[in-house]
Amino acid sequence: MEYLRHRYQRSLHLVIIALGLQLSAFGLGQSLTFGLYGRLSPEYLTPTLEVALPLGGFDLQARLQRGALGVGLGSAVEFSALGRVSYGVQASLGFAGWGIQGSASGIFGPVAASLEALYSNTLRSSLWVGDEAQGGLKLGLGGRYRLEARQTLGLQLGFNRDLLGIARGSGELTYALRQAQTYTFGLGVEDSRFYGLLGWRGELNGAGTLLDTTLRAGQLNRLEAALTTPLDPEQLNNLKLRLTLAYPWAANLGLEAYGFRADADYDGRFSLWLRYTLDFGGNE
Amino acid sequence: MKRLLTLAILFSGFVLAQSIAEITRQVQANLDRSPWEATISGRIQLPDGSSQEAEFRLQVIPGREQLARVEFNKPAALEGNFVVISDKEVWNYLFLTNQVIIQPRSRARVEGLGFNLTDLGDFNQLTERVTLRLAGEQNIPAGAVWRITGTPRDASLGFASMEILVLKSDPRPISITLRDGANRVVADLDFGNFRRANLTPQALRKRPADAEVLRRN
Repeated sequence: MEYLRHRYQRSLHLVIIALGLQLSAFGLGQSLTFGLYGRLSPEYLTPTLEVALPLGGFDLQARLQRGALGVGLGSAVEFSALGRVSYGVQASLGFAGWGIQGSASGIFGPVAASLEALYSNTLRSSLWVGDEAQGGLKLGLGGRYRLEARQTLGLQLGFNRDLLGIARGSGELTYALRQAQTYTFGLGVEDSRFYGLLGWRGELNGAGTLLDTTLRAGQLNRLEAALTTPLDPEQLNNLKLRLTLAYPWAANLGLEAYGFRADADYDGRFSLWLRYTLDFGGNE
Repeated sequence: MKRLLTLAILFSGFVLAQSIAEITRQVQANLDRSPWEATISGRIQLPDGSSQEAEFRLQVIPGREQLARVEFNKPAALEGNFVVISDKEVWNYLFLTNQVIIQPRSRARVEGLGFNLTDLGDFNQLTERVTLRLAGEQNIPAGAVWRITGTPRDASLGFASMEILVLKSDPRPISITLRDGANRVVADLDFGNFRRANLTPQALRKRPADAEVLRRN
């Protein structure tokens, strides 16, 4: 009994410390995102909650849905206009299983690189509705290099070994040429399917409306388009529209403005995710 | 006679000290008069010891809510990157990853290049960080200039001594040279294409609409 009382007191003490930290961090760029996610066949409905909180030199992130919880910790070292290095770890636990994730990315002068490693013993979408419906091991390596001021080479390499032990690889090489608009050309392979890549990004008007489109076509077909337009001259609020169309048929439509975000998804089944973000630190 | 000489030296030192305060005041008043922009170009030494051509566009809106934007044209590796500095925040835009990193000014590292370039647009701040001394006057093609030397009060500024040429007819810096402890040139920059411009805070804060915004505390 005494032991239990001691444990209770200790738990209460930890909660008070955590609350104190939260309150002291109030106004320092923390945010709360409330959401509701629904999916048809099989039917699934869950509220979602995302919390971002600065903790000393780190950013603490927590996310919660029905039957699963994820916690992440990240930080970065800034070199002003020369670049930055950021890194983070994340762990998720739910009734369906568990997952871990580590990532690091850096940019310094003409070079940018990123590395991520994920492992989960269940589908990652069972631990967080926003994640892909894949489990097992996933490794990703990305790099970008500026050949000169207006030409950039990009390379993406990926490796997956799913829960059945089937391994798949992917690779994509791109070349981007920036003039008034940016044109991207590339070649890629994903799961033994080859494709070509064409991209275009540019401003549509003087008000800063920007369109970014990428088409992958060949044995794999996917069109991605993102339209962003400022809603005020200070660019504090933007309207973002995202569309992804793929064949075999899959589609995603996203809308974002004033902290509100809606994502409708179809990949053989429909899902809808509505979210609203409350920023306490003037985040945009 | 000796005492007279001592007095003369002391007096000339006093006059020079007065002059540097007066020059600083004139430069500040001139730069505070209206928004302006200029191109800073020359060579800088990179952290790895190599020297590189550099060109920045500096835009300043003076006043109570001062705002400065430094846009990189050279070296090519940094082209498209920019830094926006306000009283409260520093924005760093990285072209390669299309990210804007926003930090409170008090915690931001603005001296990524060894020297805070916006100090040139805020002479009062420069005098707080560097002890300035009038080293003389000279004539260069741009006109008559004051030659001002300085030593940093804070060793972390990344240089051991500086020399600034200030145009007398239109009091503003026209060149700056920074040297390290071994008297090697760390940066040698000219301050060209100076012009008064109708700048707005919106124009200085402009960034690609789709840039990822990361707020750091």
